[in-house]
Amino acid sequence: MLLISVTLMTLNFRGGSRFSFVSVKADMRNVIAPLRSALDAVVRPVSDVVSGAFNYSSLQTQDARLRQELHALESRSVQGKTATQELRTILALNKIPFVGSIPGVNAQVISLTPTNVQLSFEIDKGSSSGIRLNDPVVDASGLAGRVTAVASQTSTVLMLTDPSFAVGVRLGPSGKAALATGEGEGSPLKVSLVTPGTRFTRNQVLTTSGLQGEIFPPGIPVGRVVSASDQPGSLQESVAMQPVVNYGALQFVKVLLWSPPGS
Amino acid sequence: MNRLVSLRLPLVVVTFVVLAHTSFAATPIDGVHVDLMALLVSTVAVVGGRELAVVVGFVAGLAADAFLTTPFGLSSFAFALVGYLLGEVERFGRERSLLINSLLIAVGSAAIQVVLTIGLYLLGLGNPLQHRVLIEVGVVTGINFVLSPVALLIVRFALPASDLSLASTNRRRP
Repeated sequence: MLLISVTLMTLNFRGGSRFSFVSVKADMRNVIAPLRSALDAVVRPVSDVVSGAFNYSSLQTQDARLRQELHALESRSVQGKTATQELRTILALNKIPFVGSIPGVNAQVISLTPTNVQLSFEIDKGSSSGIRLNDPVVDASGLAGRVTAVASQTSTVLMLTDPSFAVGVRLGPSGKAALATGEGEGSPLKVSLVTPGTRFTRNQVLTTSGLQGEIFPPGIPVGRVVSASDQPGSLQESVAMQPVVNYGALQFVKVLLWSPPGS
Repeated sequence: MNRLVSLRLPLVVVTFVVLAHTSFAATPIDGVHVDLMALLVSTVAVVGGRELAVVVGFVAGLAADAFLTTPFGLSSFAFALVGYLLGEVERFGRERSLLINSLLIAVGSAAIQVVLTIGLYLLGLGNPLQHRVLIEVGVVTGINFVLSPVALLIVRFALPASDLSLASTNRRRP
């Protein structure tokens, strides 16, 4: 088993696209996806039944009915607010100024990948919608990540905060370029290759550089500068920035069907 | 009836794989997610011994890898390796208190996080010197220690009696 694991790893790591096992992974995800939905569907009624049983214990039937009506109205109100909010989010995705004329696919975030190996989330659109590997993913506020795995109906998006994520950024009007890398969940992004003496303002927004070879189009907001310090004798300035995207509230995203020039 | 019993373990593995990707495991604690797969492999190692643990670890690892973009086989290697090593405790007897079993499961879960981190580092995909690694190991160890009594019950139910006795037979070998 250990030898098979090592062989698989070696083939995957050194074998290039020929042994990427993308289809195997996609098939396994496609098998698990309905089971996951089914389990969620099983768990929800159980909690509903428990809640219902609690309500039946009430001796005042009329009060219970009124309470249920009130709950229904509250629920409807919340649903209405949620629907309005979702509509606003989707409309905002269609009018993102920094996207320009780049075509895109709107998608819904269906789950955060609950693992400590990588920080990613899953969306409900895949290769059948034209999504390809490494496509940039944005929401109305800025860059959310890039596509790292594509199945027919779903895709996995690597978050900016993942330690393996790197993106070239431009330092405002000076036009200088730097590199932003993830530092793990809850931690700000680290901006490296910043020349000492470069001035930043608090909450200054850094955007993607779009330099040659960069997989992201230029001008997409990446994060806001939260701290910058210039250590004496250091070869580069220490800069940290918070992603503009709020992953906790991420519901809808837009996958940009963009290819770097010359690719 | 025997067929049904032998189906229990694969069903438990599939359930853990699915549970690991539902809202149950999605809520992070201090930015760290529950590692149900590590819990399952460590529990199978403690209850069923090394041979069963290596098989379950390999299969569970492949399932875990399907949801990651890390090299295919990395999780299965980590799970199988730690499962095998932790399963060696069968040599020291099968009768252990709940506390000892829980501690072993917690240690196994921590070991899996460490092996995964080292694997990611060797493949150039991570940095083990980040302080986050310690937090991840600590939180996963703690959560899996708390969840271990439930996992022990489930795995004991899932394992056929023959596997449980096999573990004790292996123990008696010189």
